[in-house]
Amino acid sequence: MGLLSRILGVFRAEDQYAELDDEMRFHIEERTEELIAEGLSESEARKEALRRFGHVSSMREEVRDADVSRNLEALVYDLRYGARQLRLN
Amino acid sequence: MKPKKNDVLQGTLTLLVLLTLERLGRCHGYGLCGAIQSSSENLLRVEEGSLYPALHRLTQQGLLTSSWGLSEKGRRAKFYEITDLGKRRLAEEKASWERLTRGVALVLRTS
Repeated sequence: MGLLSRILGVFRAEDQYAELDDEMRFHIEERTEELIAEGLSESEARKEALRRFGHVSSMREEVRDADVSRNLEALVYDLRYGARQLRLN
Repeated sequence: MKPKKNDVLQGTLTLLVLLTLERLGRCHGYGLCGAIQSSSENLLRVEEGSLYPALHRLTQQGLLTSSWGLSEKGRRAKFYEITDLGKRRLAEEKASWERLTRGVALVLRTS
């Protein structure tokens, strides 16, 4: 894989977080339904479910930061290792 | 840049996730959340959503595997299972936790 591709690949495309969004949506939906079953109105239940969940955007950011760090580390490692190989040859 | 999460909190969440998955087998995030809350008697009032970055991290580290499936109600959900590496890490985390609590107990006794 070309170096440019590797550098660009450090940042995953937005649509690759669709799965995470689906997961979080499932959780919030389930909690909302549970609260409705406990007697809350739909809007109260949704508000409470979101409150308990926390900041959705912070969670996405945390996952993205972890991905970026990991990809960056791998890239730096490869560049360093590659450079060392060149020096040894 | 957000400040790094408290290491102790992150470690505790890791321990709880691994413990619960070892006990329950295969679980989606929502079920796992409920199990952790009820087994810890709601002692840990973490934001429910903070479970997802933790699950993502543990999966990337090879401690868990994930697969999409259908929930009890027939909805699409992501299920997690503990791996052998996860079980080994769980044993290590349990030992660390026991050392920590033993140490604290000793300090309390001698004070």
